[in-house]
Amino acid sequence: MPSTVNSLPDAEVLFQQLGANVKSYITDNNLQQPLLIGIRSGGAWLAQRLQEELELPELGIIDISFYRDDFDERGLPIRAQGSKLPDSIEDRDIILVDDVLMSGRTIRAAMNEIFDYGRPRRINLAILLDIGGRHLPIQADIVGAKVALSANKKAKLSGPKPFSFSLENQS
Amino acid sequence: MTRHADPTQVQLTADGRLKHFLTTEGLTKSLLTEILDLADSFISTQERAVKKVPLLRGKTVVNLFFENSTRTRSTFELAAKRLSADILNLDIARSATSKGETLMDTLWNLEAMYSDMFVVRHADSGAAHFIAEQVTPGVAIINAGDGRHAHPTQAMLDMLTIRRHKGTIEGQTVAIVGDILHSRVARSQIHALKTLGAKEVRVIGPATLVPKEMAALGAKVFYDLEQGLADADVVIMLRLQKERMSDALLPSESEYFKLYGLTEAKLALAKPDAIVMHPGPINRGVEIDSAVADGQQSVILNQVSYGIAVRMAVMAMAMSGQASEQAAEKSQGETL
Amino acid sequence: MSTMTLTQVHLVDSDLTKENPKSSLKSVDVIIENGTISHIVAAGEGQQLNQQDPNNTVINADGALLLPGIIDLSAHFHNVASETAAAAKGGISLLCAQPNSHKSITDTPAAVNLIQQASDDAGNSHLLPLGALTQGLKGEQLANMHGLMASGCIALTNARAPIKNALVLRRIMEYAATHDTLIMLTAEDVNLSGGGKMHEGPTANRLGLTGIAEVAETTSLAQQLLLVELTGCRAHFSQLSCARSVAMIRQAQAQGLAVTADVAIANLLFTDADVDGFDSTFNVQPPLRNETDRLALLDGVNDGTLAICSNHRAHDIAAKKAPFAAAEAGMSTLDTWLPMMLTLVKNNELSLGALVNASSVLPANILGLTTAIKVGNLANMVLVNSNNEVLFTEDTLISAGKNNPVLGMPLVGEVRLTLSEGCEVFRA
Repeated sequence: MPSTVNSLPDAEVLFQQLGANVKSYITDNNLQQPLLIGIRSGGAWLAQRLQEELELPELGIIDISFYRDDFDERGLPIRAQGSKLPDSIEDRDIILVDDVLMSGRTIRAAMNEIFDYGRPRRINLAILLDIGGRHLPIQADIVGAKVALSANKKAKLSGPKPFSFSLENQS
Repeated sequence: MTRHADPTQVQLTADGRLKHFLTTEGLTKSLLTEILDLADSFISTQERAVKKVPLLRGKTVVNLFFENSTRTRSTFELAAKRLSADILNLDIARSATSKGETLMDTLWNLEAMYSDMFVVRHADSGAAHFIAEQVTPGVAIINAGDGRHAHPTQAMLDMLTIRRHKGTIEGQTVAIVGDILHSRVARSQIHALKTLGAKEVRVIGPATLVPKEMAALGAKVFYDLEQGLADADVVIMLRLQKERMSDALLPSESEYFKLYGLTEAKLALAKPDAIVMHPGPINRGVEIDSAVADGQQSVILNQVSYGIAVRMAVMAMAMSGQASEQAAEKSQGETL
Repeated sequence: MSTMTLTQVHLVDSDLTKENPKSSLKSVDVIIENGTISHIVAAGEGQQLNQQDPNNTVINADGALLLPGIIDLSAHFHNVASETAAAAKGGISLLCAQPNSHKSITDTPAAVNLIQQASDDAGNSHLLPLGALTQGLKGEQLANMHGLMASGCIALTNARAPIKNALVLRRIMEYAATHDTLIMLTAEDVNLSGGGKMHEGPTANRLGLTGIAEVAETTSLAQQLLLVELTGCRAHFSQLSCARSVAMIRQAQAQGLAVTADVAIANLLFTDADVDGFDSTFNVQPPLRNETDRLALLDGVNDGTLAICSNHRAHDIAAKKAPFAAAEAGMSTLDTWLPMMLTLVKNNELSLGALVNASSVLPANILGLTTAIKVGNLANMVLVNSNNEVLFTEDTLISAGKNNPVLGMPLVGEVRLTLSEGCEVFRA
């Protein structure tokens, strides 16, 4: 892990990097008809722009509001918008996209939800910024960059165009 | 004995989120819209391979029905199950509570089961509100119908039906026809329609079944079906109970149908694209003609499928409100 | 020999009539010897009179109001000891006990005796038993009306239990007229009430509660007034709730009928809007009606047409802890009745003269009692600081019934001393 930083990389630059990495990942792993699924809201923006750049036919958006593990602490987010996935995800190669990877809980929730829609062949994880601090054994397959943040800080992505990062205190 | 709180406020947390669902009265437009939006997202989860979401996993919901209603109870049961909650059905006959055991006694017994939510149907107006005031903090109460007072989940599924078929509730002219006097559904619909911006809410029926005080709720009273249906966008037919004849409120079913039954000819007076709704179960040939019930403009069957999504939405929101209130109280306790 | 000297009291002139609605206050000293008022002298002169008496109790009233004994025309007593103690602390001298209030229905001389005994044992404000008009209050067969009066009932009533058959009612009236017995009637056609628990109006409709229409009271009152006219009996109508009823009583009185009437204190303070929130405290019989009715009832009190009663009914917590319509009807008001009335005076809704008239003079006239503050009369009176603020809570109520509507509400009227039938029953 790189040393602790107090400023974050340029998100647009990072996005270009991520796009290139996803493209080569698809080729390297010979993914057939990969399905991008973005996690609301940052991951959804990323997936949307990736879909345009990679000229993929389909896009899935997933809202993990109903799958979070902190319901007893926080309740429902005020605006749960629901998920929009293609009719069938059976045996698909999925690239799950999110902006920031930290504890891994969001990814856990997203994977649980995906399995309620069907049984994909494979789920790959693409992350714009990995800031470490995992609580679960989850790792990204494709990353824009990895940084280490000082304790009690987290990164928040604004978007969808242009993307930018801001540092926030962890609540 | 302390003064009772306003029922419209008992159901909200300090920051205005839903923590019980007792009545549509007094809720803001944004909160009612939030219920409809959330219900829309649950409609989409109902189309998946696995229809469950794990939102209320580990929670216990008790269906506390002091009045029998297999239909309503089943939709609540399914809604709870689709939210991954454990559900217990208790049909408490009215006689059990009238033989000395008060409603309070029943509740205290049930609280020992560590339930997180009670879905309550009771013949007394205000029963759900009463229970909400008495239960341990953290337990959510959903009103599944209290006397003639309110049936808010039914009203919200009707709102969802209107929104999905007409695009919006704003600007719609809605005619509610039949036994308004005894109808908790009508009262809840009127509050919701007024808040959500309906242009006009009409209540139609004979004076024995339409109290003039309905005007105070913002509804326009009509005693003539033809006049009331003119240019309506939505027509809601209410079920007529057999008891109304023995209570001397009406002479006969046939006379009622002649005057207030919805036929194709009468429906033609409404807007051409008007939809016809009915909370069910239908009395064909009493309040509605079969041709209309099964006709192009009827959305009665769709209403049933929206019922589960709406109930999932209010259960999730109420449980969520309770959770955030409990968490807020806990953190307040820690800082003190 | 015991003497009590009240110095510097503001005596409210109790010679209040319809023609003379203004009350006047005079500053006096009042001396009570062995329970009887012996002297009323100019303030400052009383203390010299009994200086030699070692048993003389001197109370400096310091300008507090001295009102003639307050008489409650209707109260219910499940527990005589606690409730009469509440009455004593509340400044009430005498109370009519409804026949359905004690352990059994007061339809036999033995039951009358039971209440008298319980009242004597308690030693608080004195109870005046009301006997039942019909056996078991069932409204069918006449109770032993003469026997009940002979055993000490002050009047007869069917409480609020219906006498559905007008022929039975006519015979009750004829029989009462034969013996010049005062009967207390209520006006309610229970069929028209339709099982309702509150006033029929916008609030009932919004809450989905069955309403009791005004005509349930007024049609019954009209029928009974015609029967009174026919039979010539003395009838008192208890707990009227509608504006129209007050007008009907005025008309009947103008016509020369021997009819009087009262209103429960709750109907002078609250309306059906207070039921909002399904507050079972406000589940009362007769129901709280609308603001027009409340104002008309106040008018009726202010012009001397109506007396005021507490219509006290203590309930345990379980009786009121239920959805509105399933809760027991009734309010606990004895502790707070006088402060409630004085608060109406403070709010300029009731004149002080009308308060004295409606809660003391008129009830005394109706019942044929002598409770005025006059030399030679048995002392029935209350000394009250009418401007002092008081706040009641569940813990400060003496009544066993915590179903009181004014807990936590700021009122005025601090009772300092209550005398009932010559006895001191409360002193602060």
